[in-house]
Amino acid sequence: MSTWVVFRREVAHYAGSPFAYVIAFAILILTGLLFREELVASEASIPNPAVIPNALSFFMIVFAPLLTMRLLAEEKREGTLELLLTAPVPDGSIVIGKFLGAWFYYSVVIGITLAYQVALSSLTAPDIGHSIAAYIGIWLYGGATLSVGILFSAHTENQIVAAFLSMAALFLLWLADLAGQVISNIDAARVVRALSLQGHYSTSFAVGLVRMEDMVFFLGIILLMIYLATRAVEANRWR
Amino acid sequence: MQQKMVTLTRGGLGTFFSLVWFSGFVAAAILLIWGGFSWLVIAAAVIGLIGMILWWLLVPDDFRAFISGRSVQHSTATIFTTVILVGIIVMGYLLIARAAVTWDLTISQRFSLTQTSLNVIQRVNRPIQITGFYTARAAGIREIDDQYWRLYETASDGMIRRQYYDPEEFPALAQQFGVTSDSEVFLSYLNDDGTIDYSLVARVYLTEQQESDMTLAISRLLVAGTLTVYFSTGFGERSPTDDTQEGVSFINGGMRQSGLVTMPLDIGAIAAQGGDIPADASALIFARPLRDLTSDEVAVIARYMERGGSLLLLSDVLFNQFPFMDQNGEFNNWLWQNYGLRALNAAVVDFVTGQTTPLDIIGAAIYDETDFAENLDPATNPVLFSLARAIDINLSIENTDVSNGRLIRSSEQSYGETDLITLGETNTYTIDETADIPGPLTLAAWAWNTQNDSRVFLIGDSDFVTNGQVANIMGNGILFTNAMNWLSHLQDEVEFGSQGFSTGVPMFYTREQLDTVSFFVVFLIPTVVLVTGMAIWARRVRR
Repeated sequence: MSTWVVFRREVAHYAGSPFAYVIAFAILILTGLLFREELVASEASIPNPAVIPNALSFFMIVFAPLLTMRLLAEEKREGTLELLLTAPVPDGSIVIGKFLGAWFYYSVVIGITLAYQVALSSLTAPDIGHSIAAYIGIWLYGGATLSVGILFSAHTENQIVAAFLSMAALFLLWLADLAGQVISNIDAARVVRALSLQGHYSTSFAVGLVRMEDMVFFLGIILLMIYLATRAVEANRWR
Repeated sequence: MQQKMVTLTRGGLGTFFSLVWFSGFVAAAILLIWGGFSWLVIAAAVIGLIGMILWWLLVPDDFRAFISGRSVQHSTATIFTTVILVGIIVMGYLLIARAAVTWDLTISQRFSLTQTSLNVIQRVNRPIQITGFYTARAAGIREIDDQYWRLYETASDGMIRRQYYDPEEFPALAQQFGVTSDSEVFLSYLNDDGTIDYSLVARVYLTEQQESDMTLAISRLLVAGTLTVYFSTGFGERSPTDDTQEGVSFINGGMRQSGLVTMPLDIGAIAAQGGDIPADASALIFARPLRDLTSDEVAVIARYMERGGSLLLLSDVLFNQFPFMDQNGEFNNWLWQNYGLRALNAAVVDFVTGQTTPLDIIGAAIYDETDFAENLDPATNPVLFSLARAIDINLSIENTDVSNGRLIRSSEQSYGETDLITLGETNTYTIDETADIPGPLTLAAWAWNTQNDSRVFLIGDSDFVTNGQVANIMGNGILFTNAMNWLSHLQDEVEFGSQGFSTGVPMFYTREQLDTVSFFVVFLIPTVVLVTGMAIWARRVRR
C-alpha cells in the first residue's frame, strides 16, 4: 500500500513537472527524426520495425540518468528523505515506489512511440511480431537502466554526480557488448558480454525473439539495483 | 618441547561454519557457471547447506542477527546478502538459459525450425557434433549462430550437440578440422566414446540463412560416403591430386567436404579387361582427356550409362591428333545419337565478352529454366572460360526419353573458329564466313534420359575448374557445383526448400504520404508534448 502511495506521488510529480515534458519532447523528436530517416532509407524495401526500440537502447544511456538523478538525491539534498524515513513507510517501498514511478513515465513515453508503428502500418505491412518483441525488450531494458540510475541517486545528494555516475555505468554496460574486441580469451569475453545490457537485447528482442533468460537478466538487474538502493537508503538510518 | 593447547569454542566453530556455508555456495555458483550442472555443484551446495545448519545450531543468536538483526544494515552484511542475491539471480538465469525457453514472434517464424529441417533431424541416427570455431572477436556472431544451433540440439533430443572452441586457443584442433578463418562451423559424427569421428567432417557453409545452411550440411553428412564420383585417369587428364594452378585438387577437395567420395578410375584398363565401371559410381568426370576414346572404351561408357550413370565432360580445344571428343570421333557420335550433344572442332571467339583476349570469354547468357542455373548470373557471378570449345545440341532428338538443353552461350557477336591448326600454331584467328560457325554458340549443355536416369553435362572447357580459376571466380565454382549436385544425385538427397525469410512487405509511398507521416512524428507529436509541458510550467508560475 505504501509503495502505491509513493508511486502515485512520483507519477503526479512527473505529470506536473515541465522537465519531464522536455525530456519526453527530446526523446520524441530524436526518435521521430530517426523514424523518418528509416522510412526514406527503406523506400522500396522492407523497413526495420525495431528501429525505434534499437535507437532507444542507446538513448537510454543519457535519458535514464536524467530521469532518475533527482529521485533520491533531491530528497536527500532537501532533507525530505529524513521525513520520509520517519514516516511509517518501509525503505523498500520508498525505492520501489519511486522506481515504478519512473518506469511508468518511461512506459508512457515509449507508448507514444507506438504511434510510429501505426504510421508504418499505413505505408506497408510491417512484421508486428518483431515490433512487439522489440518493444517488450526495450521496456525491460529501460527498466534496468532506470534501476541503475536510482542506485546512484541513492548514494549521493548531488544530482549531477548521480547522473554522471549513472551515465558512466550505463555506458560501460553498453560497451561490454564489445568485450570480444579487447579481451582475447573468449570465455572471459562471453562472461563480460553476458553482463552487458546490449548483449541481452541486440541478438534477441531486437530481431523478434523473446528469450526467457534475457527477461530474467533484465528483471534480475532491476531486482539487484533496487535491493542495493534500498540498502543505501536504509544506511541513512544508522549512519 | 612445549605443546600448544588448541581450545575449541562454540563461537569459534560457529565462525568456522559460517565461512563453510558461504564458501560452499560461492563454489557451487562458480562451478555452475564454468562447468555446468554437475555432481561437484551439488556437493558444494550440500557442504554449504550443512555449514549453514551447523552455524545455526552452534550460534543461533549470531545466525539470527545475520539474517534479521541490526547487523544486516551494516556494510559487511549487505555484501553477504548481495552476494546471495546475485547467486540466486545467476543460478536462476543459468537454469532458464539451459532450458532455452524462447518465443519466436516474427511473422516468418525465422527463429523456428521448418518442417524440412525437422524431417532431416529425424533422419539422424548417429550422434552428431556441431563444432564451432569462434575467437573472442566473434563472440557476438557466435551468440547469433548459437540461437540456431541450439534449436537443432533441442529438436534432435540430444542426437545433435554443439561445442565451441577458440581457434587461437586450440590451434592444433582447428588445424585438424581445416579451419582457415574465424567463425567456421563443422559437422562430424561422434564415436561411441563421445570422441569425434574425423573420417567424416563436413564444413557448414555459412551465409545469413543459418537454418538453411545447417540443414543442408546435416543432409550432406547423412549421405556422406554413400555417393562416389570417379575421375577418369590414363588419358592425360587434369589430376584431382595436382594442387598447382593447372590441377583440379580444389574441386576434388570441395566434393569431399560435401560428403562425396572421390576416386580415380582408369577406363582404358577396364576396357582392356572387358570390365565395367564400378556399380557405386554416381558420376564419372572426364577432366580434359587428351586423346579420344576407343570403341571398347566407348562401349564401357555406354554400358555404364544404360545403368543410369552420369557423365561430366570437360572438353577443351585440343591441337593434337585424335583429340578427346573429336568432332567425327566415335565417342562424339555416340553422344550425339544418344543424347543430342556433341563437341565441335571450333574455338569460341567472342569480341563482346572477351577479357584479355577474345578467346578468354565470359558466358554471355544463362538459360535459367533449370536448377543448374541457380545463382549463375553474367552480371554478378559470371563464368569465365579460357579457349572454350563450341558445343552443338540437337533439341529435337528422336529418342523421346531424352530431354536436353543449353545452359550457357556466348554473345551474338561471337563465332566458332574452325581453323584450329593456325590457331594452335600462331595463336591468331580470322573470320572465314564459309567455314567458321556464326554465334551465338553453346558453351555448356545438359542431357537427361528419363528412362534410365542417365545424365550428361558437357562443358566446352576444363580451365574453368582448375585451381587457378575456380578459387578466384565464383561463377566457375557455382557452375561446377550445380552440375555435380545434379549428376551425382546429391541434390536429390539434400534438397532443401529454403525458408522464406521475408520479414515484411516492401514499402512504397508517395511524397505526400511521407510528408504527412513526417509531420505527425517529427512535428505534431513532440510539439503536443512540449506545449503541454509549457502550459504546466506557465500555470505553476502564475500560482
